[in-house]
Amino acid sequence: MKQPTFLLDGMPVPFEEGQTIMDAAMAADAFIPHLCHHPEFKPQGSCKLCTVKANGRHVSSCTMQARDGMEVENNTPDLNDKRRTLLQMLFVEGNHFCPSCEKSGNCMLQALAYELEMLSPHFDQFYPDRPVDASHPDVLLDFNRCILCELCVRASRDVDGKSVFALSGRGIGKHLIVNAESGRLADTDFSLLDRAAHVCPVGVILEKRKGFAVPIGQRLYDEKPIGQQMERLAARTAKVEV
Amino acid sequence: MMALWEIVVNLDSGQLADVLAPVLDRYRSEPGKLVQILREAQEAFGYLPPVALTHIASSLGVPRARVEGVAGFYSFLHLEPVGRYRVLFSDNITDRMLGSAELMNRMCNKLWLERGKISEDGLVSVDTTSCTGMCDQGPALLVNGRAATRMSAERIDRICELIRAQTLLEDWPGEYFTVADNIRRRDVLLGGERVAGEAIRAALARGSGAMLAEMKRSNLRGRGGAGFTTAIKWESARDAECLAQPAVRYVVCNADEGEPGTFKDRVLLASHADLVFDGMTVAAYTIGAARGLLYLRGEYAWLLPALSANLERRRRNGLLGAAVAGRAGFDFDIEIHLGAGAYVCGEETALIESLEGKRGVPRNRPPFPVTAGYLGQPTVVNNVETLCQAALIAQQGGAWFAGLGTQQSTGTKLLSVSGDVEHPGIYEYPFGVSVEQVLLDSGAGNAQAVQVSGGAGERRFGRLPRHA
Repeated sequence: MKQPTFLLDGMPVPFEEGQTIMDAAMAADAFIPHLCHHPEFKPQGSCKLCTVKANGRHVSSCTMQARDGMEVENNTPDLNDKRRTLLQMLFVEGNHFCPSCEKSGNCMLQALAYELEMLSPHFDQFYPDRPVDASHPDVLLDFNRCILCELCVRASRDVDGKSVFALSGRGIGKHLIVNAESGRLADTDFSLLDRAAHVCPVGVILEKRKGFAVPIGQRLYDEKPIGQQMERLAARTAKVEV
Repeated sequence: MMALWEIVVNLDSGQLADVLAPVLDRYRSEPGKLVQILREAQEAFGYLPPVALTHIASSLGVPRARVEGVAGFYSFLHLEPVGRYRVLFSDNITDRMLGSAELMNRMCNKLWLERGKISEDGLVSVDTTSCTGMCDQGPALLVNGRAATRMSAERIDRICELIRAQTLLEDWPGEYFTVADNIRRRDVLLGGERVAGEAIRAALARGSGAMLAEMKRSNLRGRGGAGFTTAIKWESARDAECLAQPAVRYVVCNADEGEPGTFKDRVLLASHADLVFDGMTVAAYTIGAARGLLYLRGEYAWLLPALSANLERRRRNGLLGAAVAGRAGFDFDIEIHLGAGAYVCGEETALIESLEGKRGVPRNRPPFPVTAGYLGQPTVVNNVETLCQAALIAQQGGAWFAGLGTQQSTGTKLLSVSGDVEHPGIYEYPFGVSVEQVLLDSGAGNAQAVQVSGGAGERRFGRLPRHA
């Protein structure tokens, strides 16, 4: 039997029954921008960056199952324009100061902003007040950079079995919390060995006493733009990347 | 009025456990009842102190972060102390047209308050909230969750005095809390005199397959806004395989009437609750459901005592429980779940998440609720009015229903009319009625614009009647 395929920007992409558009695209080395998606975890479709047009309808490619003969638009000026707007909103909602950030060059948000040619924040900055949590002996939490992707939430709950992280609040008040009455990471059972310690796509969860070990300019996305790193993105696994 | 939370800081863990025990027992410490547990815990403490969340989490056997995440989601759940009197002005355009902003300022000035801040003595806080569904009798407000209507400068001044004197809500003038139905035009739904259970007996006499056929014939479309064909929903849930064991199907009545400007479900629940419950039971019989859930928006908590009493009466009369209406093998019961201030929970998958005791965040679809809804089981989620119409169809048949309204939109529709009109209230018309007719009937002279079906709906300008 012929393997089912769909067309991604005109390119035939084969897929297995039940695979999402994102999964199949990743396997075929085709890049669909994304932030909250990670092949290791259950997709949740919240960042909306991976929105594509499938048979004329806007859908999240990380949650939409591929169908035979489907025509999917991905890398189009219109979709990239919308993605750029989403990125701009993410940038102004938090406090993202790339030049001073330890994650600069390793940050997916920053890498996607370059990839999608975001030249300015466009919107007014919110400058929210989000105190850092430096209570834990090994890990610093800098909430200023949180984009609410819930990767740490999913990793801690589904892999580590700890549920150290959760979201609270709603709308613009939505924020990341930790599993302690004090609200401090030090009072949870979080450990640097947790999977959750190594999934943050931005610079919230940082290892203490290890700064700028690789110089800026030689980092992940300095070497090659994120759009050309599909193989690595698809291969992200449960290995603890300390 | 002396709330327990004033001494909560001094509570030791044993006392805390004593206060929470009855609440936890009532819900058998089920994590799925978390929203209800948090609501009731808050009634005991005035707000949800961190120690209470920790205790609830350990009693339910769930991570504390999940409990805090849920508590932080709903706007009627408070993680910080709030005033012993919490006044929330309904902030809908119709309330504003009636002067709600001025009244709120008046109250803040009288009480020496800043909006959104608790008074220094912890007595009172004043703020706004989303539309409380009293657009036909505004300006409206909620005080400690109780709905008050028809505010005026005089009433606001009196309320300030009552608050300063720390008068119990029960001793406030009763007319402040009067909610009128304001039914202005009745058609087949609001017009008939009905006996509770009549629709159920009619459906039972037809048989579930024939009932479904009548629903198809009626071409009833959902009254919650999306207009999806109800029979297709019912048939999908009826045919869906139960993925979890034990196999149970669910009927959910969406009474999270949060769209600013709508209040028809409020009236149906207040004065036609038997028709709503009949409709739920007919749906249950048709799809083979054993349990029903009514998701009542937190703003309508004042309806809860009457609705609960109604369910009790139906149980006594054999219209709920084992062998409904004497039909062996048809067991069905209904429970009410109170929301806690979250507009998004009107969306059916967010509503289901909330029913499961979670943050009301919409799910990814597919799967749709008809195949994997509440607790992953086949679930029909219908609007209050849709279920009432289904009850009528059970009694009078699909062909009769399809003869009303237009070919595309059959039957009648309840319109919530408010704003600059002489007779705000509920108008039931067969589909196909013109906007002009509605304006004439409601006394909307010189109308310049009409907003149809809520904030996300469409606006109509111009060529409206000069005067009624």
